[in-house]
Amino acid sequence: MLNEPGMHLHHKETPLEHNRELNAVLAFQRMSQLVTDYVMGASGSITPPASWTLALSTTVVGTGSNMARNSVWSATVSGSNVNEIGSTTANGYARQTIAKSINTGSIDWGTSTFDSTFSTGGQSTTADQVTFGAFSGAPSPNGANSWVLTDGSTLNAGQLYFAGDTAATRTFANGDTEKVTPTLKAG
Amino acid sequence: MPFVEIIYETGNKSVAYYETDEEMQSALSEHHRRAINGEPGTSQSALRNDLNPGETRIGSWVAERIKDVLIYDQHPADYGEDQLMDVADVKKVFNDTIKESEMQGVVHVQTVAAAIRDMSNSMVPEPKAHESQFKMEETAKADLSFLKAVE
Repeated sequence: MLNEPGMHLHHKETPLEHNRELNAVLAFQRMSQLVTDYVMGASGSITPPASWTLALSTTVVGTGSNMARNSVWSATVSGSNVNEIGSTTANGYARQTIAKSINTGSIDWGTSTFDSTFSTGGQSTTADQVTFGAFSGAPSPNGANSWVLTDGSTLNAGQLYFAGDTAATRTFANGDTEKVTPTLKAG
Repeated sequence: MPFVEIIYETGNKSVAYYETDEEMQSALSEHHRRAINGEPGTSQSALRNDLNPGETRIGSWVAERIKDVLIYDQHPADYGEDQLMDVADVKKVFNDTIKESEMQGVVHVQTVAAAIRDMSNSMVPEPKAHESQFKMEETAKADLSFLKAVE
């Protein structure tokens, strides 16, 4: 089982916030499907991407009325669509890459650890921190409320795997950067 | 100009998309200026009403000096995205991995599979602090002389 109480996703955005864990997190359908089809069934068609990419979205994770398990990327802000910042005017925004590897020298996932707690435990791993920007001005749309693990580099496109709320609404301007350190906890 | 890989003096790296040289210079000059002056690189942040008070907060980090900027025609993460590799290259990795990991006539199939699978990984495994983190070759290095104006 991937979703609550089986899978919990948390993140920390800066070293200053390293003890904080957020509740508003979501695993999308594709993440579950990777377990059922690829891990369990060795599917040759439902496979992980060559590399993960991390995106910033204006959409809040919410509690069911914003993002949903079957959300899709879209430029149209409606329903459960997930809307990426900078998709009309980038002004320095681009997705960042996380390698599909563990503990190499590149930006990738750390050695996983286990929490044996019955209802909230599981195996967790934290990726190296990624940096967005520097922005050259206000991207359009602007105002990041979530980070999203996805694939590919085309904005508002690709698969959604999991997402978490940013601790604050980030509004970018010339010279700004953003730091995100995503954590996955799966039980 | 489309995509650039920014290599910061700290060893951190990011990918950014700029339409023009002027746009890139504006962004990098401002960030570099902040770093020189010990100012934050942080964006404007607003606390969120939709999160519990203990979950919303405004973090901050210092700006980082720009060490190098590499220019790409496409996003460097596009390398291997289609999961298609040259047949000869796949055969070479296959044969090399078997040769390296063969034990008395048997080989661990997951080791061979992992080696082939890693061919489409867009990132290099052990990049040095001031080197690119991507396998894709950059098309050019940016002339960073414009940063002198803020130093």
